Amino acid sequence: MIKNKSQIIENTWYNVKKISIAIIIGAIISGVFIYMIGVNPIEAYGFLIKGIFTRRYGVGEMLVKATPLIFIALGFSISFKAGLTNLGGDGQLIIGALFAILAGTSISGIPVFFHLLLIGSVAMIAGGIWGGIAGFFKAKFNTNEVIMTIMMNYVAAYLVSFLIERPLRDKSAVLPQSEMVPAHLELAKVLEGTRAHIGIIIAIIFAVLVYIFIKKTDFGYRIRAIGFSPPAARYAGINISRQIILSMGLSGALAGLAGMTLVYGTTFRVLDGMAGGMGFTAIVVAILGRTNPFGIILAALLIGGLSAGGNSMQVQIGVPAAIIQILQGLIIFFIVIGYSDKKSIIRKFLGVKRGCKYE
Amino acid sequence: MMKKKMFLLGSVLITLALLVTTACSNGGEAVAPEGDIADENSSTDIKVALLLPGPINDGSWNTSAYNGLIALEEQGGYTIDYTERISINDIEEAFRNYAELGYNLIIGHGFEFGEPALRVAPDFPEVNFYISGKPPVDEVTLKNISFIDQKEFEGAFLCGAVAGLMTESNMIGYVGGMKIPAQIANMKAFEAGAQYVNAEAEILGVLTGTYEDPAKGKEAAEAQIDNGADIIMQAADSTGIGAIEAAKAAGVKIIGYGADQNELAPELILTCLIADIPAAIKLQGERIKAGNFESGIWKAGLADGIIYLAPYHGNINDEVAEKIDEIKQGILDGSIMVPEVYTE
Repeated sequence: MIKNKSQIIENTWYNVKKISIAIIIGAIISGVFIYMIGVNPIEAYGFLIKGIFTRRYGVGEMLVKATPLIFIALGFSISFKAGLTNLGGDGQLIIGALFAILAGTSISGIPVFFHLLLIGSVAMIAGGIWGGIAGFFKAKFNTNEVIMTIMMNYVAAYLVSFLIERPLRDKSAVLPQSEMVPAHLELAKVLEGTRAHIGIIIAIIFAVLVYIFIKKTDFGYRIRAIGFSPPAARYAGINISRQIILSMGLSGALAGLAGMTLVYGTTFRVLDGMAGGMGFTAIVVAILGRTNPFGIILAALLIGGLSAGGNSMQVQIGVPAAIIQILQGLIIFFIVIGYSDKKSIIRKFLGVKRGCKYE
Repeated sequence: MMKKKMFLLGSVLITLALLVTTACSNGGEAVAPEGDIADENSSTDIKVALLLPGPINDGSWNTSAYNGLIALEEQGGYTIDYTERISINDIEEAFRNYAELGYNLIIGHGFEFGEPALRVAPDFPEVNFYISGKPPVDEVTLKNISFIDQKEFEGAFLCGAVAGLMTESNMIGYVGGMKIPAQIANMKAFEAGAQYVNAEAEILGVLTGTYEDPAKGKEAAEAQIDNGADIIMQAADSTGIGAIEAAKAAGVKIIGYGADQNELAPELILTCLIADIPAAIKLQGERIKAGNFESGIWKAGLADGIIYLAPYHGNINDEVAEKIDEIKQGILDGSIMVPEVYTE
């Protein structure tokens, strides 16, 4: 497993090349859609890029949107390394958010730093348990964690929806929403005049921690071993059940922390529908970043930037921001194709055709 | 080997950079694409942007706002733009994106737009904000933001008067929605209206606690009819549809809510209580143009033409209609005071 420097560069270059090609092809095809709306695609992309980089607020929005994506994608990458697919980012995020607001509003009188530390921990534990449940059933009864986590998203969404409708509702509000985050607990801003908060710095710290965890610790080694080959891992004496629960739990804990930073940095309340499919966008981020923590940071900035730039583009030139979702989908599509064995796809495709003839 | 790759990478980057620079310079000069409405408008136009929580074709809340915006555009002198399906996390960003472009009026369509607007408004004193909903705070001190607080209860008072004049059994049913202050005020005003014209009228009122449960509305209305009610007023959106069904089945007269619901029961629906959201949006646009935008909480009621009763479609005789007009005049000139009660 030891790689020398040139191998790493070679590898990185290979990934960068594949991903850039996927982005360029995706952009060209999305450009066709933009053209069909009646707008010059180059002009539209110009507004998109300008919307991010020519104004401080655009940069801020890019960071705001990247922050939760980094956390959830890091979580996804941990479970992915163990050969598990955690599609429950949305649910784990909202459960984390829920417990974060509870920890913030029900306790007072602790110094701000320790209080935030406590809130973050509570959110991580809550999200971790929520993800760990799916891991537990996977480990003990071999239930499908994909279905389990997706279903847990609905449970979480409706649970939180109920709680903010009735017991936790801010009585003065017309719409169901939780109490507001106490003003002194709001996360500090990193860029003045924008919404960007220190959550992005915490996210980067966690990326480093996850990198160390996966690459340098026994835990990480065991998780990777399971991902490579469960039978081999079992033969080597690794407790597979425990590692599955642990990796799903950690995955959920990071999503829970995403919920905490979202509430304390951006929305300041728990709102209905605040997860908004972020758990799934984060998977795009994880795939784009090749489940590498540093790749994930870059990918989250790209996807967050596209989303912020897309909103700005819509306002400037009237191209619906939904085009960004098409672009994201296309990028993933071409990355998956790029990394697959193209020859075998073609052969399979032909084989199926030949099979039809015999019918 | 490596050199070649670095060269390739470099050339790709340079091409990208060139593309971006040309794109930016293009974009700067030609803002409006050909065929776009923006071309025909002069720079003196009032620029109005509408932010919607859902799709413009939902046939209710969002569509009505969009219609208001279109009505404004048809008057001429306005450049309009809108963004639909704004997720709750992106509201603040949407406000700021439009504000940075110097829009004269930015409308957030819904209560949830209030808090983000209050965060953005101080940074853009030249831009006016209007929220189709009540303010999330008790007092609005900013000079460039306005909220609407519909005096729906004024209309509910008139509906009560209609019911009080039309009832024969002197029992009137009322099916409301969530137990929120505005709904309580409606029910209290309805009762006061009925008793203003008919001292013997008794109200069987219930707030079902939901806007989305037709079965519950039906149950409530059926119970009221069993107790002798011969007119049912509903004020609870989908829940109320159930109440209308129950009344229809029993042949009991109905007062609707939200829109002219006459076609649901053409013979039975006396009138409907309407809060005209498009009119409010149109009016705010006109105020900006005339230079008399008012900040703070806009208490819009009968006098503003935001709250009114739907056409009677011949289900109310002229005598009653005249009496209702009289009462309306009374409310407008202040001789009749509609009680404003927000607690049970």
